[in-house]
Amino acid sequence: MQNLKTPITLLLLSISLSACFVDKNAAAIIEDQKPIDAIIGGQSSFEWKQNQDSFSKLPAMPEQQRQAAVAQLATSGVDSVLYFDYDTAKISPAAISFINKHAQFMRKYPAIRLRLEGHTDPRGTRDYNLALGENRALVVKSAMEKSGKNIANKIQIISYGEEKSQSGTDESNYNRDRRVQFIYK
Amino acid sequence: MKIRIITALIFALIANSSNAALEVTITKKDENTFPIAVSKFKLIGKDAQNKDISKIIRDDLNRSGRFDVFIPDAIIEKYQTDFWKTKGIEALVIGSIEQKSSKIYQLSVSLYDIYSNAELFTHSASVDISGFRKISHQISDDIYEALLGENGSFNTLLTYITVTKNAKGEKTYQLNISDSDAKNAESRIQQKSPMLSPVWSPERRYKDKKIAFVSFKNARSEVYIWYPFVSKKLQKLPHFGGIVSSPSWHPSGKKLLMTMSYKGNKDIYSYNLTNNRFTRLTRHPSIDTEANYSPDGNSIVFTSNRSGQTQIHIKNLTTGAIKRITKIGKYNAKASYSPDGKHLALVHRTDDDYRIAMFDLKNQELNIMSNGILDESPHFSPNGDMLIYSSNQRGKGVLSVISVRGNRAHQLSSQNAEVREPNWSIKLKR
Repeated sequence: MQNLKTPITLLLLSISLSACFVDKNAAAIIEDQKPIDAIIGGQSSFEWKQNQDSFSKLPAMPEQQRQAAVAQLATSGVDSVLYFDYDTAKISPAAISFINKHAQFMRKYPAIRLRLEGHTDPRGTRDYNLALGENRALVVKSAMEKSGKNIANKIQIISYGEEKSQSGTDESNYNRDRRVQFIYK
Repeated sequence: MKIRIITALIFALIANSSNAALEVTITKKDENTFPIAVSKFKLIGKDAQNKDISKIIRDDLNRSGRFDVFIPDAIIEKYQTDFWKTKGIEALVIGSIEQKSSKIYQLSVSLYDIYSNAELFTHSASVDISGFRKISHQISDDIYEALLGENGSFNTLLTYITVTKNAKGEKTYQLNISDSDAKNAESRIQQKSPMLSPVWSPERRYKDKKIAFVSFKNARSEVYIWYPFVSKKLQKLPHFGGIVSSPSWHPSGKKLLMTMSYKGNKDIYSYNLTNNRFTRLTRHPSIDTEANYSPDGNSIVFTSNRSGQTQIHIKNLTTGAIKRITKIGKYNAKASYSPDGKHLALVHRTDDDYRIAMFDLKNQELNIMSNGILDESPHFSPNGDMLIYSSNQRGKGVLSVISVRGNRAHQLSSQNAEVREPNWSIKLKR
């Protein structure tokens, strides 16, 4: 394999307060310590392209239609947050029926896209919580896939871990931090 | 193969750089402190008059908790044994700074051991004005080493995250760097989305130093590398689209451990910066994260809940064997090695609280070092003598530094910001 280093150039000047990022298309190699790996696509090393995010490429539902649909869902009593117990991504049978309502909603509106945001309370380490938050969102996504075909590629998973915790150190609010939020796009 | 390179502009809007500086509070001193006098330096030349570095040295020694530092009323130019013996002072530092040109100064500093009546060292050097702080910390290290026989951690750098909230409750995150005394603080990366886990690369020259960190700039966790002293560029590392977190450097500085989620499965990968190649180091459906290399680079320590509990594991990279290390407590996470490789610093859950603990790898003993509720992100100081971590003091995030023997402590805090995610560089080159 040849390695090409992209020349580094300063592309922009700005007086913005934040750093500006300029992306280039890129690929990298993954190599496994052991040969052949079923999880990584049956190859010991491979390239993959960034931005294979099928979610972002889907056409968005027109704003007004989406807002009306989401408002209707809320009026029918279907919440947009699912809560979890401490340090777990397990969901209860009651939660599954709740998730099924969201899956039905997505079948009813095939153009709608869903972002599942996983969150944790601030207890434990930030990096571990980032992983736990992703597992929570993944469990919800997996349950939704069982409920409805052809919706998997319309669901995006994001984990914020404890970074968007609202409770601070107020323990009585920890249970509201441990959540997956359903955000329709 | 191409790598994704992000060129960035951190146009040095050294925004709020005055606010970025942390305040140092010494909270605990050793019972047997070393009494030392550090005289004000003799200043020769008009522009030398505001260049006295003796305060930097006094503050360094005081902050370590191992010295009681006295300031003689008058500038001491010459050492006299008998006078100092009567004062109960055991060592004396004197020095001078003479201006040679607009930017170049001649610096001279001497350390005397009063009891043995001996000069321990005299250093003379021609110093550029920009190098004053660095050489002051180097002198503090030399004094520490000459008197205590141990390495100091003064000529080093810190990095940390600060978070401020405006009246509307909107947060601003800043990635900061500073000297070990919290001075020279700069925060050049500032954004509305979270940043976490900044870690200094192990190189010893300024120009080689990099910081790896996690940013939610693109509304997801991604790892970036920043070269704070040489260029404005940020490099974004590739990933699978899931979470990316926990960057941590190989002792060579050429590889970086990180956690990546592939189809939802979180494992440890090593990324080789030279050839843009990833190597997968763990393979388990559970959460594997927070990996750190051992000082010899032959093992990694990481957090995994593969046993059903969140516990520390070590993988021997030569044999491939993975061993669970912590067995005390239901939650042990985010371990990193001491510089001698004999201990781990980690986050340990007691009944309901998360505290910093040290784990002795030989005796398998766990010692709880802190007494907070949500203590996090422990790292050893470069000489292995102290631990730095983030903790919550009355609802506000501060950085705490404690000695591994628990007898000395100081705090780094900000009036208007939450301070978190500290990391301490290894010693810079002289």
